[in-house]
Amino acid sequence: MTQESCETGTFDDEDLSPKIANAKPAKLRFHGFRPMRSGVYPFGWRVPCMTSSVGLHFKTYCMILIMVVFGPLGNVLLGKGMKSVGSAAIWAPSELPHIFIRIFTSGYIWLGVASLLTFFVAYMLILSWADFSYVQPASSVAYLVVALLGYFYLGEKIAPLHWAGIGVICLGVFVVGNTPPRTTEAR
Amino acid sequence: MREAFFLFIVVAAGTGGELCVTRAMKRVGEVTDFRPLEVVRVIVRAMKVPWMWIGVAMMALAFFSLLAMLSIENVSFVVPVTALSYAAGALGGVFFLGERVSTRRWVGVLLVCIGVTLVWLGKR
Repeated sequence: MTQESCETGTFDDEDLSPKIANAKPAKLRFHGFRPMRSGVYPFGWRVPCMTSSVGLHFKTYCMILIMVVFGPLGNVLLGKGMKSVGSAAIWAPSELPHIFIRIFTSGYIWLGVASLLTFFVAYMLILSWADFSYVQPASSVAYLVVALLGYFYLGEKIAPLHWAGIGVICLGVFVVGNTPPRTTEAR
Repeated sequence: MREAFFLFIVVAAGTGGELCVTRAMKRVGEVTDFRPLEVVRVIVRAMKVPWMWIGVAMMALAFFSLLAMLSIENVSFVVPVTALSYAAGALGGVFFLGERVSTRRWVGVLLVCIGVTLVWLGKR
């Protein structure tokens, strides 16, 4: 589906045109996706570009899944790597070259960077069609994933108040996420 | 004290970088083809937009600040508190990209801020 077809309102997909002329596709889609809305997906699916709505959503969910897996994994690996480099609380400016060498010779750091690069490519792709203020909240389920990984994989201690805070962040994410992916005109 | 400084850099430079990258990618246009060669072509096209480079530079700065923070604190503390960039992101989306942010979304952003505060307090 080209960008031009969205802007001018013409449809180059032959199958979609009669449906849009006769029925109410937006309403049909709404019922079709309803279980997902109240279920585990805290994301909206209303989009102004009607021609590729379903495809746009599938694409969006796939990219978000990649982001939610590889983002937290990358952060956890970086955390594991940095713990062996030493605390920045006592870094002196003259030590920085040595610290950079230690950072870039750590295997965990490189694994973390690779994981974050995967995340970043998915992020760049999704930002080409969805709003920044939609994508950023939607991808933030990652905050729960990173806490779980920290707790189970790295054995970090997490206080009850800390868990509560992460819970509230996820609730905020849920509220924020259920809004349309694009509010600005396609350029 | 140093971790608060690093947090500020992570949030400010990270959000600023993401806003620049978004502006660049919106100029590149919607990605509809996911064959590897096409994806590479999109990346190359994105690299020709100056906003992309400004964005990447700011994100690199944020990345090294994040590494510094990770060396001081646990991952399960550092990553949730960087969620503060939501507030910055919503503000930036409104003022820099002309996106409309609904009341509902602002409520979510507020909840995220409360959550970050709780996480910070939970550490003490």
